[in-house]
Amino acid sequence: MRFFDKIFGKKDDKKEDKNGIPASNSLKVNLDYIKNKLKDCDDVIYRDIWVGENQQYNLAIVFIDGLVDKDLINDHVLHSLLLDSRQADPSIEKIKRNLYEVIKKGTITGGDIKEITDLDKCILSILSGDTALLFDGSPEIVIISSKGWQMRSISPPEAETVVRGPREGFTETIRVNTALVRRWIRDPKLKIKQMQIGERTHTDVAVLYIEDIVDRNVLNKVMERLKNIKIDGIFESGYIEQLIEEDWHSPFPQVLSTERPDKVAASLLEGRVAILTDNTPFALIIPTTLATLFQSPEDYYERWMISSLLRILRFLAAIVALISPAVYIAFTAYHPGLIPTKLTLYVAATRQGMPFPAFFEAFIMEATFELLREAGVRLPVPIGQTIGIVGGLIIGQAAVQAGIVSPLMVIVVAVTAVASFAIPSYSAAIAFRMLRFIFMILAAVFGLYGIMLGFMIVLTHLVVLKSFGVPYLSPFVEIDLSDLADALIKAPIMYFKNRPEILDTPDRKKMKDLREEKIESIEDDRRDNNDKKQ
Amino acid sequence: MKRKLKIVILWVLIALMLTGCWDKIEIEDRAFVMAIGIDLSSSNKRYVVTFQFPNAAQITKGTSGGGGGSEKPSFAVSEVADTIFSASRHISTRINKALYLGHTQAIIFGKDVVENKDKFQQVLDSLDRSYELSRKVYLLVTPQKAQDILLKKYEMEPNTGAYIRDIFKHYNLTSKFPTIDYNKITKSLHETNGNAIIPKIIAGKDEIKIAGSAIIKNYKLAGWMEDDENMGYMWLTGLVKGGDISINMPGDGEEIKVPFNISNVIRRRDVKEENGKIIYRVKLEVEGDITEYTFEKHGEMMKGDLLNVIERKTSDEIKKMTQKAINRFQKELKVDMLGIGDYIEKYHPSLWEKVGKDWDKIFPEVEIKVDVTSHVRRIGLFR
Repeated sequence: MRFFDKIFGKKDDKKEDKNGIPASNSLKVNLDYIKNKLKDCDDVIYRDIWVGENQQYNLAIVFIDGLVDKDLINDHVLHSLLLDSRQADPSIEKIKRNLYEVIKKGTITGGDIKEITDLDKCILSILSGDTALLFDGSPEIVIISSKGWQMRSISPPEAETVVRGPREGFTETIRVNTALVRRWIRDPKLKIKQMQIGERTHTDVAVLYIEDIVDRNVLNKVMERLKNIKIDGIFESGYIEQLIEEDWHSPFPQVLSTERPDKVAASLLEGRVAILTDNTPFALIIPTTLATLFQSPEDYYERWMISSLLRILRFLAAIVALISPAVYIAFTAYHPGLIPTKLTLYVAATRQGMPFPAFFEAFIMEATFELLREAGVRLPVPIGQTIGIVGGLIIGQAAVQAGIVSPLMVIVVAVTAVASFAIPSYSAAIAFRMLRFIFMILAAVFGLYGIMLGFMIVLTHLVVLKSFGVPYLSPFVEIDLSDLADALIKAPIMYFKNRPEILDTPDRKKMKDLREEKIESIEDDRRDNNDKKQ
Repeated sequence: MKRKLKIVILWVLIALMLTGCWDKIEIEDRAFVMAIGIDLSSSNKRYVVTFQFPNAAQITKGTSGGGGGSEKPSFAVSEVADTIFSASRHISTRINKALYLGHTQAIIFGKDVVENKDKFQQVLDSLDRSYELSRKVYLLVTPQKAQDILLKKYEMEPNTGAYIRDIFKHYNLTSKFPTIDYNKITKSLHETNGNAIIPKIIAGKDEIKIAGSAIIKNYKLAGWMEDDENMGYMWLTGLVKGGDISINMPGDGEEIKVPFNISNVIRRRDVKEENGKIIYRVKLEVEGDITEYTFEKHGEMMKGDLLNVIERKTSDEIKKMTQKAINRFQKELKVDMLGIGDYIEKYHPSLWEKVGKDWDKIFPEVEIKVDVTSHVRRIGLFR
């Protein structure tokens, strides 16, 4: 906890008073203050305008070029103020009395406006892409929401593709992302709490939850930890993930990140909390357990048998990715008696004249594979393929023919590589890949005993680990049959009657039991028939 | 935090110090001994131990078609030593690899070893203590020298250990040898104070043959069992899982042999005490097929009671075999290797309490009754 204190600051720290600078009545003073603050910011545009029949009223608009929708400002602010206002009805007396009210309510045709009197807040709004409208003779400033910058269109999520399921993924704009989630859940209980984190970046962060489903303990924890973040800037949701996670020692991700709105929506319905961050297409889902890292949205869209088989396959893949090179080392160096005789002789034969011991051989190959993977990520797509071919040749054919590695080792590395990519969560896959090297060292030093030792350490760690108060290994640690329906397997959909037991959700019921309904209706029919007979 | 770290480091160190990598040998540096032969030297004082292991470099060449036929597919090395253990150590001065016994398939005893009680016991003790040896190793006795079998290269399978194991695999094709492995033999030896049956192996010119068995009584060779007698023993102990019996049927003029192919055997046992005499009853229900019969007669198979005759003759044949075995063990050797004492101990403990103490004396007096019923299930198909 000391670590958290260091990052978040002591909880009882008094918050800084942020009274800000109140705007004055004079336009010149206000404008000078803003100009002074935004000195040397050449992308800020100031526009003085004269309004009224005799052009007697002095107004100014301030916005940042590139962040605003220029069409909106032209059509709904400048056009309205400069041209339309001339044809406006209000008498001069009325205007004189309250120019501000008239313009705010009667002239500007922009949709989303709000008023503030704080100059610092005004500057912040301008920096977020809003347009500020300042009046001479009034301390109120009208902020017109005119955000409209170049953004990427909604495209399929790249890291989480599915065969069956929606193809849309989050984009870099938080507004679009919240809208994407809203489109999935049209429920007034879906709450989107927005805040700004980062003393300099003022990044928008939205916390999403469904009011009468969410686990309050988790929500409170999330809110508290988010509020305690004191950092100059937030880039990517990874910053938030690392700042609010429970145990930074752990190789396992305690927060699930996804770029799929459907996954976020489904998690919200389970009673989880989602965090959306501006400027990144990755949403965070809290709390996360080991089982959720192995779930793919497709599991729920496909029928249960294939989903269950695939999920078991993924768990097996995780084990393969974790220990297969370690097992190879342990068997060849310590326990040749544990593998079938014919295989033993084959392995012994393929390893004749190998210059390296099994551990070193495995280590070189695994490291080479990681190298290739990393290089493949860095390289632009057209060159990436070349690396694949060259790497494939070196890692496979050439190394075997040169007699540096045995053919079986190549198979082991290949299987491990493929298996590690079968885990849906990328960050979980990284955890398993990382631990693989530790397992290899353990196997090289202790043999199978070392692998068991490693398993015990990892399991002990997993049992202790918690994600926002929820045990990481649940539902496997607290055996609860209804939760197990969605862990190692994905049971038929009628077994998902309740929300997960591990979450303390006020509204438990997810679905009415179809079969119970059926039985009821059959009984009703029977009763009706009996009545008729009588 | 620091305290936690210290504990973790201590823990890792303890694990490191208390174990260590004492048996870490890379797989290519091991010689996987497939068969071991144990003989006595000519003076009967020292052992001649032969280790046979495949030439690993040759294994993949065979599959990938690399040609290399000049190299030896397997090696056999003999060493003379005072004990079995020292033989396995001394031999490391002559080969470049570490012997590994974990995959040993067969251990062959020369006749002279099993004839010498002290030496045989010493050998068994050495095998019992080996931590590498699997308990599924096949033990065999040869009337020749074990060395002679292992030093030869058989073209069918130059790897003699694998050759022996493969023969044992088709125990259900023939009932010529008892399928008893090291586990059963040591159990029998320890429980009955040195009595066991061990399969017999002999080497031909270019092949080996496993048939019959050796009778060990009191850690010493007491004799050999062949064909009928051996099969009779297997009937009584429930080892028959397949194989065939030839029965004589009247043909035109001379008798013709008809094979009865055993497909299923059910053995039921029962023991009773009547007037102080123990009656042990074995009921064998044998099912099988007739796979050959002279062509003209084949049509008559379903007629009359021909099948009944065949069934009766089969039963008689089996009874004859068992009688031979009973005579051997009960009358001649007077040792219970038919599992009767074992059966009584397990299923009639109250009776065993009475007779168990001097079972050796009571066993020759036990009345053994064998009832055999045979059924012909199939009479063969014509294509």
